[in-house]
This record gives sequence, structure tokens and C-alpha cells, in this order.
Amino acid sequence: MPKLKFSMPGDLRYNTLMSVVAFLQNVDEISLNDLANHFKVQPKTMREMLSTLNVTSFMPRNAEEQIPYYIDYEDDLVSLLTDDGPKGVPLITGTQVAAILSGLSYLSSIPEFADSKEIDELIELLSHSQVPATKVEFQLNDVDADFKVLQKAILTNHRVTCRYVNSKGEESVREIDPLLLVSEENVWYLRGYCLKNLEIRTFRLDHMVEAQLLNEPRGEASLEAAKALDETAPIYNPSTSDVEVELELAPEAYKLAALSKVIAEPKKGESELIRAKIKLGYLPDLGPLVTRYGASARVIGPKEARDVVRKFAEAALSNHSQEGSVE
Amino acid sequence: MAAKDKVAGSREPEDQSERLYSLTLALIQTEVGLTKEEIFSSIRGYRHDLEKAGGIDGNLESLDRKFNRDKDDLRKMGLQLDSAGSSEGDADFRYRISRKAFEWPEGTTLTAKQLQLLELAASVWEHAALSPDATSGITRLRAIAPAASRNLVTGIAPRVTTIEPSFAPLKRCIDELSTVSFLYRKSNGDEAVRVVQPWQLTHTHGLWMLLGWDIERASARNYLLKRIHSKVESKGQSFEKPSDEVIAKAKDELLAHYQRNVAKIRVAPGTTASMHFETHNIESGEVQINYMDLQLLAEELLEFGSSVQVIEPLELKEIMQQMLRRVIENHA
Repeated sequence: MPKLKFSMPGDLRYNTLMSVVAFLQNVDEISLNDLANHFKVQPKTMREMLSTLNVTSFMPRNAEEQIPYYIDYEDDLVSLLTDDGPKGVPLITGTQVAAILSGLSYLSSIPEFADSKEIDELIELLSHSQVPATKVEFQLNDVDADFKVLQKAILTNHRVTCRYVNSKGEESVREIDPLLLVSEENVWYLRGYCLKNLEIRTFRLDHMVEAQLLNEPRGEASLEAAKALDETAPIYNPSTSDVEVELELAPEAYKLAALSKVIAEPKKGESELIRAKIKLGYLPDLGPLVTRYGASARVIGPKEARDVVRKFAEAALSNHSQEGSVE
Repeated sequence: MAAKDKVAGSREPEDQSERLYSLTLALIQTEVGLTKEEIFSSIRGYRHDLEKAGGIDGNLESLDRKFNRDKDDLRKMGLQLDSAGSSEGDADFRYRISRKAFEWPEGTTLTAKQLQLLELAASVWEHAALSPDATSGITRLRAIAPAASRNLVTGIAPRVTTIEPSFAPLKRCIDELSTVSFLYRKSNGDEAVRVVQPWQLTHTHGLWMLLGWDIERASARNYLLKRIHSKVESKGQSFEKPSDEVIAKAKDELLAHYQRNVAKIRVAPGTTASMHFETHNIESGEVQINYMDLQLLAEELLEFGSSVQVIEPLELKEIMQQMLRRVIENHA
């Protein structure tokens, strides 16, 4: 599909147009806002789409006008007035089913949904709707032992306490009002209101132990802060004081590019090395980030960033070279 | 119809989605099918081009291309154009879309809670390669679900990423049952071209893997997408889809391999590593861990720098020392 001036991709817009008409065939009347919410679009976008649906149904042929249906959306109340259009929505396709089944497979790997009958029913229902394309499988996901405690705290609006080691290696006992568990690949993070820092912070679950539910509800401050929580925001929010580091990455280390802006991609016939820029609030974090990729990731600059990585690797090598470390 | 909508209706559509929608409406409404001439002369998005081409007897090459693209796009979205009459290309050849494409199995409905769970499942792909398919699929499912408030609170926002450029072409070739080739770099650095019948993509311990049949070695193999060092090429050779049992057996073998491989490490107390490996309550700080291959384990352990020491196997320690020396050289 070509690039469009609308805010959604062409195939999604087409599917939404088809689905809105099908949905309206089953309801007498619905408010514009509720309809927009149901299809997860802005009311303005829904209004534009309803207008499109009306004009698109106007199809002169052989000097006669065909008007299969007409949607009334005056006064922000939406209803289908004449209905001679397609009955229902096209069947979900095999690749669409496979994508959603793959998402369900991911959910099944999370403790809450591991033995969920609801998930099983949905898999059954989708598989009967259409022969799915091959789905992507998720397996062996390690979920931290504290996950269940934190999720229970979120669902019951309770505070937790835990031991936590930050990236500087400082261990402390924290009190947190948990708000959202976010995964990135197989690493889970907790977004929560930290009672120590009095703001929403992100915590890696594998840096946390002994999470315990406190017999104390979430505080007013965290409830207020939670209103501004963006569930889709990236794990790391760059700030203006961050240091920008340029990296050269082989395919084995492309994952680092997910955190960054790719500034040069390989041309045809060249090696698969890419250049990317990454922003860091705390430069020593770069040591573990780059070192784990061995020769597949290289810091181009600035110099202090290269020094950080070298020193981190030197300390590790010294440790791994110590006599007696192998039994 | 409101006057302003009527005026707007005489304009050309703003984008392909509107043209496809008009085309779908026309082809689903017709009983006997529409000839290409009828389609070009009546559907918004083609009419203007037809006029520019000088009518049905003019040069319709670009209009034909546009129509063929639209047919392909509709097919990808599950709407196959049926034929009625003679062979395609003839003037009296008629197109239509069967209403069967709209017939869901009887009783297929969703509750608001089910829809919300499916939306959560689709959101896994929000920033990844399957997002368009998942989002379009969910949009269709919204048509058969009530607009009740989705009040299921799960407290989770699961996501995966697909940064590896090979993901999308491999997924496509899996769906099309098409053999692929790519340059693969093994853990020891050796590179070789692999010709593979791709079976399934799996996400294991945060790593994307391809399970497939290696034609040269005549066996099922797993490939890490991050070790694919070239574009994935479709060989244009199709293969028979393996049975679920064959795929399950290959996955069981990988799991058994993972469980057989055990390394022993010592973790310094009070570090992120002690939290990660959960040795905070183990006095010796020693722990056994399973791994798929030593290189991958070395990468995982290197993230913890001097907080971990390898006890066994010795080969793991040597790999890590070698990797660290390369890092130091590269940053000298």
C-alpha cells in the first residue's frame, strides 16, 4: 500500500471502514465517542471515516445512483439508516489469525495466563474461524518469582516492599506502589511510584528480590501520578542531559539498535555492519551493554564512552583470569 | 444522502483504502459480476484514470496495473475475486466477490472481556513485525464484539521487538512454504550459506530462532536470527508443510539439549548478578545454569562483568576471556 496522508496505514483504514459498517449493522444507535473508543481511534478520525463511508457508498453506475447504505452521525449519535451493504465483516485472514494466536502464545507464557481456560477458548474460536498461517511460538520465557506478587499488588491496589539493586550496584529496601508490568523481550520491568524518590520509576524485575505485599493501599500521590502513566511509552525515556554514544554493530548486536537511532545502514554488497546512536543517562551502564556482544559491538565515540567499556572489560578479564576460579 | 456527501462522492477517493472499499462494495453487491469496463467506469478511483486514458478504448496499461495491484491487496486481506464467464482478459470476463468471504462460522461472537484479551495479545506486536496483521485482525474482530467497556485490568503490557532484518522475509517464506537461503555465522565465527525449508519462528529466552529443515545436512536445525549475516533469499522452491508432530519433536530435542547443558558459576553477593541468578540467599554464591550454546551463555554472563566467575566448563571461561580481549582491543 502507498503512504497515505491519513494517520493510519491503508490496510488498517480499509479494515476499519469495513468493520465499522458491520458493527453498525448490529446496533441501533451508538454515540460517536463510544464508537471511536471501540475502534481505538480519535472521535475526529471516526467522524472523518463515517463521512468517507457515506461518500464511498455513492457509486453512480449506468447513470443511476447506487446508495447501499447511509450512516447518520448528526448530533454525535451514529446509526445506520439504510442498509443494503455487505452483511458483516470479511473473515479474519490466516495471517491475521496467526499474528493474534502468536500474541496469545506469548500471554500463555506468563504465569497469570499459563492455564487460562479463556485463552484456550479464544485459541479454539480463532482456529475455527480460519485456517491460521504458521504462528510464532514463545517458549522458555523466564518470569521472575516476584511477578505474581507485583501483579497482585497492581490488581488489588496495594503497596509492596522489596530488595532492589540499581545499575550502580547500590542495594536498598524499597517501598513501591506498583502500577504496570512491562516486558521487553524476556525481561520484565515494573513501572511504579517509588516512595523513596517520590516519582514513577522503572525497576528491572531480575534486579529485585523478596517482593512482599504490604497491608497498605496505594497512596494518593501514586494514584495521581498513575493518571499520567503512558502504557506505550518506551522503557527508557531519554533526557536532555544524556550522553550520546555512537556504536558500530554487527547483526549479533543489532538488538542495541532497538534502543537507538540507526544512522547508517549497510549498502548492498557491503558487510552487515550498521552505525547507531544511543543515549545514556548514566555512562557506566554502557559497559555491560556493549561488552556482552564481544567483538560484535564497538563504541565509535566519545572517548570517555570507549574508556568506560574498556575498563569494564578489563575488570571482568582480571576476574576471569584469577587462579583458583576454576575447580 | 446529504448534499455535501453527494458532492464529495463525485470526487476521486483520497487514498487506496477508499478505492478498495468501493471496489469491495461493488463486487459484493453484484450477482452476475462486473466486467472490467463496468468497474473502471463506475468505481471511484478508476473513473478519473479511465477518463484520462481516453475511455475504454484508450491506453489502459497503467489502469490495468492499478487494478491488478488492488486485486492482490484484496486477496492478501482474504477477499479472493471470483470469476464468472470466460477467461480473464476477455472483455466479457466478470469479477465478483463471493459472500462466503463474509460468512463466519455460526455463533462466532465475542464478549467484551474476550475482545480485551485479544487486544492484549495483539498488543504484544505493537512495536514489531506482525503488528499490521494483528491490528487489522483485531479491527475485524471488533465488528463482532459489543462496545461495552473493557474493564479487565491485567496490569501488564507485554511487548516483543523484531529488530532482526531477517524476521519479516522468513515469516513470509514460512507462510508461503518457500525454501530460503542465507549466510549464517556459527558461534565459532565460521560462515556458510544455508539452504533451509523454514518451518517456524520461535522466541526463546529473548532470542528469535528459526526452526527448519537444513537441506544439505538433511536434518531439522535451529538458527539464531541474529547470526544471519545476509539478506534472506527465497529460492522459489516450495515444500510440504511439516506435521505438528514433526515440529513438536524438533522443539523437544532443542529443549532436551538445553536441559543437558549445565554450567556452574560463582556470583558475588550484593550485586545485580546475585539478584538475577537468585544467589542472594546462597552463602557460596554458586549456582548451576542451563544453556543452549556456550557463546550465548558467555554473552549473558559478560553483562555482569566481574560479578560472576565461571567454575565450569573450562571452555566457557576461555570463550569469555577471548571475547573480553576483543572488547579491550576494540576500545583501546
